[in-house]
Amino acid sequence: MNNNSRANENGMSENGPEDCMKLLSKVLDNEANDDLKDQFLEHIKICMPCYQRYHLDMAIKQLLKTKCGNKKAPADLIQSIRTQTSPPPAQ
Amino acid sequence: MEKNYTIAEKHEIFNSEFLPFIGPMYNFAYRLTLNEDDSKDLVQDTYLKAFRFIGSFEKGTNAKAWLFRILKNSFINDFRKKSKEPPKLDYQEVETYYNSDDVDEKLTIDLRAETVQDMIGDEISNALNALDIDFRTVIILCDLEGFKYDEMAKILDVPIGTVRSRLHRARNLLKEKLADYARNMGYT
Repeated sequence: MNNNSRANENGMSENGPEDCMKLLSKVLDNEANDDLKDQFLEHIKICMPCYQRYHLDMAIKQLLKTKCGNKKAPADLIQSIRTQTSPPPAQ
Repeated sequence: MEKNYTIAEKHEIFNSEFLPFIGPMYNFAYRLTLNEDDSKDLVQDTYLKAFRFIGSFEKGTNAKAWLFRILKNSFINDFRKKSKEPPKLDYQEVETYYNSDDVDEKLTIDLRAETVQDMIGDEISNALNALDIDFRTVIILCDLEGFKYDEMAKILDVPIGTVRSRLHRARNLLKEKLADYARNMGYT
């Protein structure tokens, strides 16, 4: 569902499921403005496939963030970078 | 336009705008190389390059995206040439294959949010690591680091439409792998 498309009385995009997927991704990734977001959240109240898909995608996104995003940089790496970029000692 | 920073300004920018991102940078490098020593080399190379070319960075702008772009290019241009990684899959082929609607249909049947939330082991990490590098990269940038689509387009040097379609396919592939794990664990 792009900015030009309208929702019908069921909240479904007139352009079909493909547009729903685009809108779902925008909402999931915080790329949708408030209007589009509200439109989508209304739509998933009455559309089970979109509702399930949205919650599945959100669960995966959150799991990725918690499980795969926390690798700490080793202290020796930070030290090595600092040493190699530090200014030469003053004369 | 090239900036003429003084030595002191260069260090100030490097310390206050670049070094704070060393955690996400290392995580990105690790997810690309899947090896700790290689990640350290890649991050170090990237930071030294960033320092050398600091004149092309405008103070106060998006340092994280700038650094991620250098790291991604270093990985592709320098690192992968040295490594013995098999040649990249033909992207178009993958794109066409996974463009089919069948993938979407199968996924909605097989995998549920509750199942994913029950995954407490390494399944998600293994599924991510198993993705082809182009697909893995968009997931890292978007879901782990929270980059916006336009930032990702700049980091990857591709149009926003490509970012969107790559992300869509990457998520479908990830779900296929998670659905496999779920089946093997007896969740479905």
